[in-house]
Amino acid sequence: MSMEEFAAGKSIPVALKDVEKSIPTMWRKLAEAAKEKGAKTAITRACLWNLIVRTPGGKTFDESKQLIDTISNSVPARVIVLDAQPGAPTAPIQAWIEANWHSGGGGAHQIGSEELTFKASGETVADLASVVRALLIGDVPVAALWHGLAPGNDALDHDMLAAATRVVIGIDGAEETMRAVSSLLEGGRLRPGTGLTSLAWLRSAHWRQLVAALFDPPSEAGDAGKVSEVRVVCGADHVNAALLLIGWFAARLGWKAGKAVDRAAHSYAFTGPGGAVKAAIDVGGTSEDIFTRVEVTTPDGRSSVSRIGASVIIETPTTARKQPRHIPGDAELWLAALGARGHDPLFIEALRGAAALVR
Amino acid sequence: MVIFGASGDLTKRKLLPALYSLARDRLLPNAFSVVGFARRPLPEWADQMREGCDKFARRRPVDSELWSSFSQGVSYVAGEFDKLEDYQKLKAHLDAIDRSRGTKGNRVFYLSTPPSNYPVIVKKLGEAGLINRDKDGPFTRVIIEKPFGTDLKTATALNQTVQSVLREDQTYRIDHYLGKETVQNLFVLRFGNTIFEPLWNSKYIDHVQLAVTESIGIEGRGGYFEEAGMTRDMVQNHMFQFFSLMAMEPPIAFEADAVRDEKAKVIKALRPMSVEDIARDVVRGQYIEGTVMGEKKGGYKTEKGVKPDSVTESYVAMKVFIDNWRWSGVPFYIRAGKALTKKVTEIAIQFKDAPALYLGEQQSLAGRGGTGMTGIQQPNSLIIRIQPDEGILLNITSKVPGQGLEVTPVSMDFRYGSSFGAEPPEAYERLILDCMLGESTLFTRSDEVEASWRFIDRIFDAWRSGKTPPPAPYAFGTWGPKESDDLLARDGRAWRRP
Repeated sequence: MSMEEFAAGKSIPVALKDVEKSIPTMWRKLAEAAKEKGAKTAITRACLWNLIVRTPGGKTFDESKQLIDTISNSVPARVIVLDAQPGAPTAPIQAWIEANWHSGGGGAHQIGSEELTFKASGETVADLASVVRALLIGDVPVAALWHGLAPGNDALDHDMLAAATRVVIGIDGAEETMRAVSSLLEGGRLRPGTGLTSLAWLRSAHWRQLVAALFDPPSEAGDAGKVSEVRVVCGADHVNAALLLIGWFAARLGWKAGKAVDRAAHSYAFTGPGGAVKAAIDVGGTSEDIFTRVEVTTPDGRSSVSRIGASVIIETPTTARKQPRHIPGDAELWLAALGARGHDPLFIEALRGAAALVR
Repeated sequence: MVIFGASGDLTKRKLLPALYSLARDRLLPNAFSVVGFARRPLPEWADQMREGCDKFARRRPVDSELWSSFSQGVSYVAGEFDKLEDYQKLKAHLDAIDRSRGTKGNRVFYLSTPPSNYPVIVKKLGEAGLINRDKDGPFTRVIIEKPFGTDLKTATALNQTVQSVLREDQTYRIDHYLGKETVQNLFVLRFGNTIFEPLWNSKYIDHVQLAVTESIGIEGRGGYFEEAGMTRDMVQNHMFQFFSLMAMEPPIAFEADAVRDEKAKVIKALRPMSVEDIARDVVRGQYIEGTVMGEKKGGYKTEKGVKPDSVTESYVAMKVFIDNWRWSGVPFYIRAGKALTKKVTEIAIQFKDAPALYLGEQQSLAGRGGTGMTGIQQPNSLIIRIQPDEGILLNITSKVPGQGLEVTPVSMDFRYGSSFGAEPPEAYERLILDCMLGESTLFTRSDEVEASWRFIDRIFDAWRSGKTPPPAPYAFGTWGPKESDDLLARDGRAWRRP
């Protein structure tokens, strides 16, 4: 294993038993090399988070690796990336270590953080739990991110949840995923005080803002309490995000007793302060954006936010306006998940509301 | 220097590599000589030691030229530990070295044998005239490896034997933990800075956690470990040593007796525990099969040399109090275990919580308006990491950049390796050199040893009484038994994740 490769940010294969020792050895060698070159401060090794990313392998794993490279510029972390394929034939765990480097800015020296990658398949996936446990840096918060799958009940998920102070669900998808995610709220699966969020929730932040703005003056905020129907149009892979949006409506507008009227048709019913409320998800939208259209009906008429081209059109019974739509990239969402927005009590409320619909 | 038990693992892995490193750093006189003494004739001893240096010395590869010069002073004497004539043979050998190399009669005897041999070796050294008790003239010093006894009775007996032959200032009870940089830096951290000492008391410190955890099991050493257990192997010696350095009052000088007086006071101030206290506040555990770093491992009872009905503890956790003014009411939680998640030795000082005045929830409850702080607010903690990655870490709460008042814990982390760009010397290097220089500050005095056994003996008595719970099982590779978590949970606290 060469220090030059490590310094160049290359991924270096390491025997599993040597991972723990290899990292400090590399940093020490770098420090010694820097000292020999006359550097006053040898190196800076930074870490704000332990970030565990569990992926099902394949394309999602590759995407995760790229995203980690991007976000490490802003959030130095010890990242543990897991390519865990329990359904594949059993193979020994493979390990790699690498450093992510970025400039400290203002002429400062390079700042480095660590990325540890493990591949396991078949029965060895269960053993990854012991690997993750041993490699978390003490005194640094732990974020656990499931990318491309929802947390389940295996030993690895159990350990990730037990260690995490921030849980991030990086998958959208069907109702089953929503059930898996909402189960995190039950039975003490999360440590007290753990921040829970999903990329779908963060991705829909701008849409929520636009929908809330439908009730801005000249409409009355009180009109929000009179909503009788909500319809969300989205692509089939964004049903979860749509459920969360409906859950958010329910939480903010005081709708109770949410239930599915016709689960196959994604039709739901609530009791709102002003009477019965209908909600529906229409999966006939495009996947270009998280939602294609959100319609809200009140006694005064129908208001909507619609995605058209690179813009959104906001229409109320009395006004219409167009504005550009920024679609956040995944790296932006990962960063948001590790920041203040990853600890959003509104998400929990929305999740509870959405969970009631898929129970 | 004469090493008794020269054929043992410690000599090859630690002692000779330490001596070689000292030679390489030009800290040994040219005349320095090392003599191995053990039962087996070992004509190839010097070659074996060279192999040890090749594998284990801090600075590798070994410099052949330097080794060639160093090895001129390496020799071996075969002899029985209880035969006076073998000591006389050793004496003749040492006298010859004095003449040929000019070592002038100065002697350090290093006892690295099984502890049962210590009394006989010390006695025979005296009988053979190898000990000079006079303060004038050439020095004689004896380094004794731990364990110093297996309980108060045996420790007292050993001390009496040693003191019948040696002055206390000739006796160097070695505990290699005290040779570690971070342990020594504890002294500097506390008394070389002004910001810590004012906070180093019950007014600001909520509790202290001391941990020595290992990710390996007993690895075939069942014969030894069945007799020792984790409490004897770790707590009574290593842990009490750095515990006492952490908790002691400022000594009048950084000088052997001044420091050791203060350390001994700490151990003597430990609140004695009743059987009921021990049943409640001491948890013992024994590992069962599990997985560590992806590798499946068997349980303690499947280890070689372990009895099927063994109740020897591979894990121990306890809550203790120091009954003095400084530490009144502050719990010290100690845990030591084998077959845990990872190898760590650290002291963690957890300060009291900041007032929760500005937490969002608190502000909201009090109707004070504003959003307040959100996120993870943890009490400050100062971590003194002894191994691996020796260093010091201070955890503080900081605002997350961006809108709102999201807070998160951040660490100010100092590591010897990366800050000084050099690996600190091995503990044995420092301690052997100190002994040669007559500096005994980092060695243990007889009263410290006896005080620690006095405290620990109560625990063994309670365990033997049958009035305390048996060892609780825990899976290899985890953080120990649930009962240990409960010990802290009862106080509204939790073990750190080191």
